[in-house]
Amino acid sequence: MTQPHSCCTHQLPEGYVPRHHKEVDPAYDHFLISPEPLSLDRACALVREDDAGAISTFEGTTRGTFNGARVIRLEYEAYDAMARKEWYNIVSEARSKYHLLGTVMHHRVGEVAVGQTSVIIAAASAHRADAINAVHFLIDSLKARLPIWKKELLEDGSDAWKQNETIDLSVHQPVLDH
Amino acid sequence: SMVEFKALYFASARDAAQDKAFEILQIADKQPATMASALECIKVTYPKMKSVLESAMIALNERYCDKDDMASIEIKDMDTVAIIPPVSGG
Repeated sequence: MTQPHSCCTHQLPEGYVPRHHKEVDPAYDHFLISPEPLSLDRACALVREDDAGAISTFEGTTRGTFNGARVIRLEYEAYDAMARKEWYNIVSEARSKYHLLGTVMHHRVGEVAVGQTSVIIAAASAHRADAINAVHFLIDSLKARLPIWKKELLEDGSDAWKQNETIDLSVHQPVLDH
Repeated sequence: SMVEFKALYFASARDAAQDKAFEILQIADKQPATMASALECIKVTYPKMKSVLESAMIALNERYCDKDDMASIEIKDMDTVAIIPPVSGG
């Protein structure tokens, strides 16, 4: 069941546009696929800056159960080159909907044990509505579009390639234009 | 002349390709150099790939293709064709 996606509204001075970047650029749109453990502190440090009034983040973690069965771990693989291209397309879309400063997408590959982090997304903006809503849009878009796969290892020794449920991306409306 | 392409197999597609991650394949002379022919070549090589392809997306040179355009998308020599089973990132 989908729920309406709520956005904050601002009272901002007439003609004021929050500082933001219009175009995707690896200089401030950080992308990493790595087998090493991820760090929220490291992700936030990449986008923390004086013009930001907000850093919003998302962490995906390995859940210990699937339909009542106990999960041992997930194993991730990625089509790295295409994931980077597709991610920059997604960030470009985000930049057309939200006033954003820096962004981060860090995704782990290989084994991710229960409780561990598989993905971190962070976005910084001058005002909080942009960052909060952008992160939601970014993780939903990642799950719908990025060529990354996870295999789930269950306690009974069985394993299966997962597929993400259908995601309705139309719920992500632009933050009201200031 | 024969058109060669690089096939990439991910997740369940790699399982269907007997654990092969990538290989160079050839579209036969008589066949048009299209994505449809490339996929046919893969299916002939790995019969188990047929069911994978039913739900998989296809990427040409790291861009998603429209599955309705398979017969009209042209394959050039050493293009990369990736089989993208339903994704599960994040």
